Amino acid sequence: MDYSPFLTTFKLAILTTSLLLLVAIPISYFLAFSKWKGKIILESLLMMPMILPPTVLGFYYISFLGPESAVGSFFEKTFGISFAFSFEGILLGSMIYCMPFMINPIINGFRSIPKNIIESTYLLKKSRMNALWYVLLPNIKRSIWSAILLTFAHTIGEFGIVLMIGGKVQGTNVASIAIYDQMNNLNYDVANTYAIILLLISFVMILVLKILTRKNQSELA
Amino acid sequence: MVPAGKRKMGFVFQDYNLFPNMTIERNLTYASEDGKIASNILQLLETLQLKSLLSSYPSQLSGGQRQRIAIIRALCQQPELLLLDEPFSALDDDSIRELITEINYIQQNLQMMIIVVSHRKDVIFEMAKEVVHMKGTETVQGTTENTLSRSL
Repeated sequence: MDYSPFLTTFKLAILTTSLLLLVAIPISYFLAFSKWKGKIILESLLMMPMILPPTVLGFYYISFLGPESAVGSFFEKTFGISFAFSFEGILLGSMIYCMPFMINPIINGFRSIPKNIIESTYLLKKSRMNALWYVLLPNIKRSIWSAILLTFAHTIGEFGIVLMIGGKVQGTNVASIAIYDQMNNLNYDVANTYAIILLLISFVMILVLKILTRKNQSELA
Repeated sequence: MVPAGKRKMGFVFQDYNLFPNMTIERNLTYASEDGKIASNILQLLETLQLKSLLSSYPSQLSGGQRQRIAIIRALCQQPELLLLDEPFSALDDDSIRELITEINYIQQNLQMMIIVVSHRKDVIFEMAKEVVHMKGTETVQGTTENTLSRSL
């Protein structure tokens, strides 16, 4: 049996999660603490993928970054990077698509830190960067783990966005799409094995997430 | 105005602001400028019998213990003046007695000016040499006996 779709799935999930984490911490910090009035618009925009059909996102993604688009053809000609029908493409697409699942728990974590704790870091003459690293992030460790797990699990379950952006070429064929293909080809045995593996992985991840969030309630008590 | 961080002042507020993710020792070293607890602070921890708490986390301490550690953490910054804002409000009577003794000890030992904000007259009587009595917009300032005996 060909297990390469799982390799692609895990590669995509690991890269999406780790790159998104790096992007999400500054964004979440800004959205949690900034007093800028327009931030509600930015937050809403970043949360859109939660309710938007993946096809809508995929359609606009291809329109703006696909090979026919100005931006897409510029990158292809100048740097040889293709943002559609490539692994880089589904990586960028799934980062956009998973943004809400990563930033939501982190924003809530930041907002749950008592104000006097944050003010104490200023009174101790600590810079914001220092406070973020030594006080804020360690205090929301569980929220960060929830965000990581949720994003990872969500990336494994992606279907529509990967199909639209990746187009089922070599290197973008993930496990969820492989199941669909195997079913279409009437290979029910293979589809069944793939499905069971995904089912088990998803169950374990949600279970761990539940255990984490249950403890989370007493985190700062 | 001098920004809060630049003032040579230590602050302690009514709710203990110890960092929950750090042990007591880490709370103190984090507050110390060179990352080490100064010898006069170590001495103080010894005298006040708080040294055994160093490896604990704030959540494992009682209210009185947390407030004492919060005061010591403020001292780690080697301030010239210490401001305690309602340090007794969350404590029971026994803890208050103990804390008064200790603050008096710190004051004499480190020869430091300490400003305490409190709405409890009995506590002020026991601690202060000088009082600013505030009621509404009126204030009276003077020695403890003179000020508190005059009614506003």
